[in-house]
Amino acid sequence: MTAARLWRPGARGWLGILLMGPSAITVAFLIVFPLARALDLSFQKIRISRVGGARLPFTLDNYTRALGNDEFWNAAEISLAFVLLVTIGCFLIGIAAALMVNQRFPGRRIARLLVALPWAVPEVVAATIWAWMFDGSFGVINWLLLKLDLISGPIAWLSQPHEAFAVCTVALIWSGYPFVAVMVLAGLQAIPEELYEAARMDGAHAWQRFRDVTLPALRPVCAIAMVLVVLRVIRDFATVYVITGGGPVGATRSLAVYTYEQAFSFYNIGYAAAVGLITLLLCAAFSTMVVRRQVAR
Amino acid sequence: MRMLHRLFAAAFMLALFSVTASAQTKLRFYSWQTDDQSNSIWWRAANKAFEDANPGVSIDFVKVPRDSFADTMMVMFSGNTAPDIVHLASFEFPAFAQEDFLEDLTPYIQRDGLDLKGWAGQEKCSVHGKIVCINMNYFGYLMFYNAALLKQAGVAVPHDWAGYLDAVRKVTAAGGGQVFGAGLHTTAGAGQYLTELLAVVLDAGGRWSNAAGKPTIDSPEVIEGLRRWKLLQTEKLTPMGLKAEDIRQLFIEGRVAIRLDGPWMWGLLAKAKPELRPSLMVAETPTATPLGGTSNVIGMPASLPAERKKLVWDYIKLVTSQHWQEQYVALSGQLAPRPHSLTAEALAAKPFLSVFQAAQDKAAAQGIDRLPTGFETSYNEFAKIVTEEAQRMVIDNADPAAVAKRIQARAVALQKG
Repeated sequence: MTAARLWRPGARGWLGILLMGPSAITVAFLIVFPLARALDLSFQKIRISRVGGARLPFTLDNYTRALGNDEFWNAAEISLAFVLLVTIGCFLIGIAAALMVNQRFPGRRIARLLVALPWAVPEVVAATIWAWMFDGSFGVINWLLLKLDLISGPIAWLSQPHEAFAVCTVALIWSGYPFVAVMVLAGLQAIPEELYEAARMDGAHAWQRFRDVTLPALRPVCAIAMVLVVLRVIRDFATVYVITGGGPVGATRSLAVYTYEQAFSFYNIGYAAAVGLITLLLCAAFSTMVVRRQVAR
Repeated sequence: MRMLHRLFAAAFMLALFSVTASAQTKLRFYSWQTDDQSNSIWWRAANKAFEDANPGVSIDFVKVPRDSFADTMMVMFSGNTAPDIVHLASFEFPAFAQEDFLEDLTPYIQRDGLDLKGWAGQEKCSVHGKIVCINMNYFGYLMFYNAALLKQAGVAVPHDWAGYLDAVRKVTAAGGGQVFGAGLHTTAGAGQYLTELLAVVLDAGGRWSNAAGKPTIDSPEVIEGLRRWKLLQTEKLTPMGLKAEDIRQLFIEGRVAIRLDGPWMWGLLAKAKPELRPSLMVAETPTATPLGGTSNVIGMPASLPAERKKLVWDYIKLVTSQHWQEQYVALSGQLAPRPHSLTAEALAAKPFLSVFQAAQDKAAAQGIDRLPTGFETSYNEFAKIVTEEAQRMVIDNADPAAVAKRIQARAVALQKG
């Protein structure tokens, strides 16, 4: 087939396939192969897998063990709690920040940069800084609270279950809200000014304009942002692991940390693969539900 | 034209020669000890000696952080890309040996007559009748202390638990919340938590398991150890929620007075400020039974090609030779596992080694190892169980006896699988 014939309308489909082919094959290799491998491992009672090693007999043990294991459900609960609190926190701060930097005021560019700044900090670096700030003996947070007479003695932030959970939540919100802010800011800029003018002419005050114009217009953006924030929180490993390692007493052991622990600390690769796939199914179910609702609207 | 052909031919030959010259055999050696103040100096010297003795062979000595070392090794072994020279911590190699990833060194040892009699901690390298590694370090725990802080608090260097408790209480009281008497690892990192807790449990006469590998955690001695561990934290005699690395840093900054740790901490003292360094001392631990144990081992992957196995075995022979074991003492400032490695010259140059030797001998004589018998292949899981329950004991102010009972039940269940 000559180049000229390739550009004929009938051949455009084939050209597209030809051009997409390498990318599609690469993506398939990077995503489908590991998934298939994880699926295969999850049905074997295997401690450490080996490429080219003999396959162990098929078993559902890993799944029945996970579903009947208190530690798994505890990790699922912790992940759910992180998802709820971090998503709410990210959206409250993200929307507020976006509304703020959408206004015209001197230094708006710098303000926008500052809002997005936490997004640019590598997760591990941010988590290490948070861990030091909340250090029970020498951390700046305790120092500040003591100086302001808000506490009578230092709080062992990372040695107490609720406090450690709170620290991880704060760190996750801090690193997650800029994404929501950027998405919402883009959504705000896409709302036609005429809608606000019409609302003003109808006598709508600021809150009514926000409720009846801004929020409905932002709904599609927020839906997508919510899916991405939720998925990020569920799969977040670095922040929680660096700050608390999943402790104390498992109070911050999310599904991601639990999976890692089983795979790399206890060498239960088959079981970890099963837990990972259950997590994947939960994420897929959530994403599908939100996207379907959005399409239905 | 002929001239041009000759030039091309010369260039081709030169290029071919360069390629041949650079086609060295590289032995990949991944370790967490590539840049410390102690072991790395010896490893690098030994690597150079090996390269000098084996032209055309070089050692790629690559750093992998301790925190992610086991993960990295697991991925490498799983992917059939294991390093040529296998370096593992003593608490992680059993899991790899269990999967038959490590070569049985017995035939090599027998063929070359490597004398392992009296080799400290070597018995831990025998798995199912095979010698899968050579132990590279057996340590006795030591007490590092800040003499100036003890003096300020008006306390003497402690020699037993009562003296230790008194000292850390008085230093903490005098420290005003900025200086602590004790320095314990009390956060994530279950292996380190278990090791530091064991140091206290041993002094109370407790052991995690008996010689047959049966858990003995609900014994009165372990309960007493747990009570002491709880006391140190509930009285806030140690900074809370910090890792061992952070505590070591606080020690050399003069904010922790007493730290029980392995001999590897000695090298770190050199990083202290000059005005603080003279106050930082080392002595035997104030415990009747010092913690001791194997630290790290060396071996080779079973999947290695024969010619590489030969080279790696030559390397193992070199680093375990009398000369290089003596060099280990001289260069790293730690004791080597090979008997008679501590020479009179080394002792004269480094008098503190007599303290190291006493601690090691005492621990070895009592058969102490941080790796509990019966939990060799599930050490990390066992460590997590003990750590979680001990943390819960401190957080909930729980009764150590009840906690010990719970750990015992979970440990038994772990063994049953």
